[in-house]
Amino acid sequence: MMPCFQIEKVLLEKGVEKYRLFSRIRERIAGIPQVWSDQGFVHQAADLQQMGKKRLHLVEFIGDILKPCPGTRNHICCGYQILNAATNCPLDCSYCILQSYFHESDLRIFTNIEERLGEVFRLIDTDPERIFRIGTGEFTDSLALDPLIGWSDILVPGFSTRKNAILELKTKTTNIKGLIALPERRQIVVSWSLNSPTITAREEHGAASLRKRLEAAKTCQGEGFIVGFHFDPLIPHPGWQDDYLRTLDLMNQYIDPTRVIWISMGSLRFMPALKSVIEQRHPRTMILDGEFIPGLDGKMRYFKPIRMDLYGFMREHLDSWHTDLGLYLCMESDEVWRKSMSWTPGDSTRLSRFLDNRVKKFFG
Amino acid sequence: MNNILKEQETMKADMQWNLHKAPIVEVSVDRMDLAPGPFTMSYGFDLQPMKLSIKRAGLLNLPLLLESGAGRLIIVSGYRRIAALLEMDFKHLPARILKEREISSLDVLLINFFDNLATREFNSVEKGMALSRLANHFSAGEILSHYMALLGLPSRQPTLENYISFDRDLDESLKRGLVEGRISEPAAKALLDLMPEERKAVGQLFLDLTFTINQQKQLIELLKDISRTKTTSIADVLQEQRFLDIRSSHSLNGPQKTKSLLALLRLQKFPRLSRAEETFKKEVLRLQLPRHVRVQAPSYFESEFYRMEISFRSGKELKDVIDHLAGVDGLRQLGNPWEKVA
Repeated sequence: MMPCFQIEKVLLEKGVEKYRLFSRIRERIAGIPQVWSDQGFVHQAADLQQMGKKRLHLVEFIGDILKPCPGTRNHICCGYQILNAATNCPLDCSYCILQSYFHESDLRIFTNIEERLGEVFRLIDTDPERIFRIGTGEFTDSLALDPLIGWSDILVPGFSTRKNAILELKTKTTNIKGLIALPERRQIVVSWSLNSPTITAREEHGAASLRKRLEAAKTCQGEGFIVGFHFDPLIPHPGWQDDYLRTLDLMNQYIDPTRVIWISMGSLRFMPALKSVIEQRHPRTMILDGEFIPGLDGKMRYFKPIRMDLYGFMREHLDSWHTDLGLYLCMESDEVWRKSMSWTPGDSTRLSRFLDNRVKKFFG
Repeated sequence: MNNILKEQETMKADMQWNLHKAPIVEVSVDRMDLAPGPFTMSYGFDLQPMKLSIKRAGLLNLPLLLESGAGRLIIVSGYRRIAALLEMDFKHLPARILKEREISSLDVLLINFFDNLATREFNSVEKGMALSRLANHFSAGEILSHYMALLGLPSRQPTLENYISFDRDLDESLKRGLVEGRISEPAAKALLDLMPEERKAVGQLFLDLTFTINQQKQLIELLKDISRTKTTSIADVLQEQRFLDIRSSHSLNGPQKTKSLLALLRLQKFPRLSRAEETFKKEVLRLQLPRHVRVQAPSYFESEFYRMEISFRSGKELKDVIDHLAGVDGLRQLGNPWEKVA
């Protein structure tokens, strides 16, 4: 179990005290210095190095609680939906897009999530033929702050009773205690972002080691959860083939492949503006060393054959571990799919269908 | 413009000093500190028009000097006029004299700032000089609110910091390159992110060769990437023999040297892409396509689709070209050059 990340200050906007999440965490944050504001906090130009990662900011969320994954044109998207529970992350991966994605720094926790879940469940219930794949791991780590916030208590019960939805909790931590203490298992996917041991050690600051993540995944499988994995971002580095094979060896040691719903793969990509942020925040990083070219969506990506090499290599070895892992690519073109995966869904609709069928297979 | 004038009025109203109180005195240049000093903001100017004006019309506006406690005279305004007079061998000149004890240094600075602002454009280094001097008296917030717009700059903290750095951190040759347009503003900003030794080496390259704005930006990015990958300094990268050979080549002209230098760096940063581009170029050449036919690869080979462009004067000519193309050996093999190189 990882310790909850060190929070040095809690900023509270007036009004958050009326929400249930606040009552849940009131005692847990009692020992941390707190600052209240009745007019919201003026956005501080956060220290670029810290990015407010030790500052918990409790706010009311007024935007769309559920948003489609911001897929980009010319690429096949999985049709995942993001549940807005929080933004920013206490982990500090050098490649993280969140470093330049949000205008506001701080760990922003949406205290009215419990009250707004009704909107999500109504949407799910009014469209029973559709499968909703929903996750909280896009704009934050789903479980990093779970010991403090208790997201699993809030989210899992409601999703678990809905046959046409799954909730994916995506993490790089081992904070599964709250989750496994719950009785619910149905419609919940616990997934881990994985990488090579070198990238994990050098670039994923504050995240659990690879072995610890896989131990946690094994525990979850043992407790009856369905798990998923995400090799995203794959990053070529000296000796990357052997290095990624070491990760696959560890997966083989810890994981039952028949209870893996999907494994996604994506290669490092980023908006051009992120580069200077990475250079300033992580001057010793190796992630900018590759042959990045502007992709069709304006993001910087590895030159196409390098991406194909990465995916082709991983697919070959994952396939030899187990042939039914639900492998898919995140935000790639039809051509890259065909040439590295030896099949293609052709478009986003069919990739969604493929993943929906995985949900049906595992949860009926 | 109205806002700017209003702003000036407000600030001038705060100024307690009446300039007309300053007596006019004939002073010896020996008493003057001729360095730019804490108030002037003139850089990279051409003295010829000023000399001509003085020669033809005389000294129309008197320079303003501040007499220090020790009796030295510091230039407040009229730096260019004084420089012109010195070049014209004047040993004495008329000037208005302010006494240090009678006026604050902020007021002195503002007199010169507004005097310049009203009469001419500032170049990048001069904007930096002005902001740098204002920063000795005002907070960043005050400068952003009141002075950036007057200089035609966006009220952003990074912009303010960049301009102040132009004044404080660029050495003389780089300042001159910036003012003369041999170093672009974006490149100067990028140079400021480099270590002083690296800044000097790259800046010298800009001054020695001819670069477009884009090429300067590209060069800095490539050098930063390569030096990070090799864990060596940019100065060391530029000291590699192959770069020195290009720079000292007698068979290449300036733009050719620039192009070769960038190509070499690009090959280091993008080995597979560069090889693919080269292979594709050779493949197309080998096809010996008709003169009015052009084949283009997709940008960075990211899309699957290549383009062929045929220019023709008549349907018959088009038909002939198409017939010819149908018989071109090797057309079938064209494309995806990255599959053909290791």
